[in-house]
Amino acid sequence: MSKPQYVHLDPTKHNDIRLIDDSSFSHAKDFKLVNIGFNEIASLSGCMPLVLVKSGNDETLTLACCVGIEELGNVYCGEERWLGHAVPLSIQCYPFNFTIEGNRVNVLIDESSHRLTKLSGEGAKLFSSDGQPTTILKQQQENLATLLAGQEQAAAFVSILKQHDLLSPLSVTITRQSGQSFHTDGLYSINEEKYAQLEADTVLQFHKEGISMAINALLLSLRQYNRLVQLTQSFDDPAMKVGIKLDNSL
Amino acid sequence: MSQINRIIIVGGGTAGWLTAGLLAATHSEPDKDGNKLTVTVVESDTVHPIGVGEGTWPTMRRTLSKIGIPEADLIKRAGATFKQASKFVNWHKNEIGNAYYHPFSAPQGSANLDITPYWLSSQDKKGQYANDVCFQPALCEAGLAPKISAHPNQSFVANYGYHLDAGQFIDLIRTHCTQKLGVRRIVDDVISVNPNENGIGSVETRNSGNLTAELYIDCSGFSSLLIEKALSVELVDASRYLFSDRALVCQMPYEDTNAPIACYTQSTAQKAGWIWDIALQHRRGTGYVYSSKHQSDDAARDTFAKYLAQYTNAPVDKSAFREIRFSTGYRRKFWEKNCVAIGLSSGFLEPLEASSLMLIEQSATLLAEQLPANTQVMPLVEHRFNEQLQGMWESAIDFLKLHYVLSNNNAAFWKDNRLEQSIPPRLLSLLKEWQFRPILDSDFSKSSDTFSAQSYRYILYGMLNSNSNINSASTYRRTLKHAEFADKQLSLNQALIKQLKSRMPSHRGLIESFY
Repeated sequence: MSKPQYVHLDPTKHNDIRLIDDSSFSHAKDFKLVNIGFNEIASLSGCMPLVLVKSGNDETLTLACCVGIEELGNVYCGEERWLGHAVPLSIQCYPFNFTIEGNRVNVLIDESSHRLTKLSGEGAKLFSSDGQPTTILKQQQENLATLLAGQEQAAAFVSILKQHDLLSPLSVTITRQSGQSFHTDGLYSINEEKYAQLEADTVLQFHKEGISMAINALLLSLRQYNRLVQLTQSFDDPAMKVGIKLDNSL
Repeated sequence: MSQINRIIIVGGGTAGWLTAGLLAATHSEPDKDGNKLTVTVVESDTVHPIGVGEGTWPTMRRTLSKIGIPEADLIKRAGATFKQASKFVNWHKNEIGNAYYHPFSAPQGSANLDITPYWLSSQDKKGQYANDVCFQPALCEAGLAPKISAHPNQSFVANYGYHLDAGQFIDLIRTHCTQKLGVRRIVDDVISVNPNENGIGSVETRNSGNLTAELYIDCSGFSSLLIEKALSVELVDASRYLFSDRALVCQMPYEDTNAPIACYTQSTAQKAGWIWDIALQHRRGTGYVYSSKHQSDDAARDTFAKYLAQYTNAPVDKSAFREIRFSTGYRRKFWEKNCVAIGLSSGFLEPLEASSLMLIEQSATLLAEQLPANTQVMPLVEHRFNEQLQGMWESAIDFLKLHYVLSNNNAAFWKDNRLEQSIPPRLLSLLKEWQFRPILDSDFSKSSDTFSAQSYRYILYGMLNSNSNINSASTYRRTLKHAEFADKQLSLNQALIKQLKSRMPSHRGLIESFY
């Protein structure tokens, strides 16, 4: 896939551009970890493992979901459709993205995307001739707004987890039929022991703020690594087993 | 006694073809002997329809669906756009502003409770009544559509009617009626109408001979060939209530072909009347309705030209304005013996609130529903029809007059409109009562009350003076025990506006989705 070329979305420049549907979200076929918002935890946790990932040079932790396996790529990207009941919002938003400049949120579009066309028989217009966004684009703008809000909440969630020292390194080992195994480091999840020992006041506060629900969902979602393995069965040299090690020491 | 098997409609304007469509669609089955009702429209190719009525009510959606014309056809073949409201500019000036809306959607919560009394008695800072209680004015102001997409179902958000090109609309219904509904069309001039003891005996045409039927519909427009010329049913004059007697009409192209399309009829008060402004897909339809007793024709042309000049860089050609003369009134009887008048032959009302097309729809629907089986029962239907239609016309006149009565414009035309002797008696009594209590649904309980209590609320409270009695709690002793519910509706309205703004396409965007 070509490298994304994100530019500012512009009613004049992009007036004749049309968006084609892609229910397999094939642009994401090489994705393995995808950033998610706090508001996506409930819907995604029953479909794919949710983890925290160290990213960037400053080692910031971000909330993410795991959709792929080393060398096999995104296992949810089927030939014709997405093989799960939930799709991470940032994947749904493609080919749109946003930047924050000052107080302004600017919508970006990947001009190199295979989902865009100028042929009138295909896809749906982004702008009507009066330069106003169509329903399709408005839906995407709403998704972006939700994504932005969710990512801000996710950052706050991560800092709460850090503040209460609730994170533990997670290591995942996936073994293929051929015996070859891949090991992933740099992931984090919840330290169950420390979580169990929180003060009553904190537990009550977490409960009221929905933090407990999110923590439990994160823990339970690790079982979805089995689904990842299952989804590779049609591949050459599929994954056979997964080993998850969460350091729960105090 | 003879069975009603043949109906002749004289005149092929909007009234003629809508009536033909409704009659043919409602009575499409043969009887046990295999006889079907035949509907024939006789239209002249030398007489051109007036075609002023370019705004419809939401009732047009049901009318078209009865006839079998899909919305997409109306949009693609009659230049139609969506109408969500009427916006009245400069009819009344107060501290909140110079404009207010009469939207087609009801206030929040109206299925359970009318929140108006709560709004009226509220001490909080208020905006325009319609904007506070209903989401639709905000959609109109933002140029947004009343539905998500061209899909016929599932995407409906706000109540709407249409703006349409009258000429193209006639072509559309005519084609549908003749091709799908089996309506016969005779293109010919009517040269004489022959009355007899049953009413109309026959209609003589130039080339198609003498045509006979059991029932005749007069849709011949202002010429009223059957109801007036042949049967001498006179007009009841209503010009003492509604003074306008002239209209100047002009079609304006858009300066920019991709310009936003207004989703409401704009009606702007002028020195001696008001200007309508209707946005179609490729042009705007505008007209100045005025009283020749209050402004000379030349001055009226100047007033109209000045209005149009705001919207165009090209010079306005005053000689291109089409002039229509009329007097407001309606037939003493709409149904006389075997003849029914529908459309301009039945009377004329200025196009404020799009009542002309509405009255055509109402008359034709009632006729189609109540169509007598034979000549013996015809007088019974005649009586009921006349009573109902008279009620509808009187109710429409009351409602139109309401707009004038409430204005605080001080030009002579407007001051005369507020004189007590110029106000229809029923409206006058209601206005007196409404100084001390809110408008109640039970004020309009007859089936001929075509304008609902809610329409009256939008107008009366849209033109409220801040010092009016109804606004002060001092005279108000009615129990208001659902304040919490009412408050919730007001905040729900704001939330809904926000949500719809982020979802709805622009009006032009919706129209483009049909193509």
